[in-house]
Amino acid sequence: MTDLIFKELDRDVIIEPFACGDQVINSFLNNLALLNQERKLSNTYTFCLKDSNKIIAFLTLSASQLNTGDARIFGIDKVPIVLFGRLGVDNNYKNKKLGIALIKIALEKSLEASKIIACRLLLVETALDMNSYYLEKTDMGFEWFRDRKNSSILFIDLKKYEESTL
Amino acid sequence: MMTTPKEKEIQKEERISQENFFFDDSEEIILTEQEIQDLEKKLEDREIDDKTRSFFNSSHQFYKKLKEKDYTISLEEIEKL
Repeated sequence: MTDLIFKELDRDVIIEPFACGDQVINSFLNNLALLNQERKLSNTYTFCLKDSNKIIAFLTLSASQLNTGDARIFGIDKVPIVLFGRLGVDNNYKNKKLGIALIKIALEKSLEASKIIACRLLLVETALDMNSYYLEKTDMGFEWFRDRKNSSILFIDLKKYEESTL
Repeated sequence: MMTTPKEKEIQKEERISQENFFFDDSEEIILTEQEIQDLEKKLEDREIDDKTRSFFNSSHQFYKKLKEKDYTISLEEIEKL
């Protein structure tokens, strides 16, 4: 058995060597995640090996907003959201459903946050050719929001999530 | 060199297995008029299909169980998700 512990990033966890196949995500975890955590700019949650405290997967959440410009939505001009900024799974632990486990945790953490300070959506960005996987195949409740050059922004409605877990 | 549909499918499978997300938040998201209308419609729609409801419920139960076990879990249990 490989025992894991889920915990918030702190100075006790072993960050390096973490390699998820994406240099930007590795670099964030290695250089910025703890700093951002301490500055209260984003929160990083990790799965660590229980015996060594080494990170094998992580996700990062932060507060953000969608600006409606000159228009309004439901009478307001900024929609409060939770940004699912980063998710990374170490190369040695891919295809073990750690990514799905972290998406489930992101939903629950976002719901907890929304009960204290209202936020309506959980926003993620995925590669453009992957949007059909998240929108059609996985039934995780993702809805399409916008395409960028090489990516798609998707969201999950936290109110729907809350209503279906009551 | 052209990529065959089969190669494309393999590349896609490889990307799925990467299990990584990165949100580029370097620029502010400003909604267009059309996006506002579409979003308003989606947020007013309270329908949830059975499969999504089941995923939502399983997420809630998974986290509840994780909490009860003081946030410890085996990799083998996660693989069964």
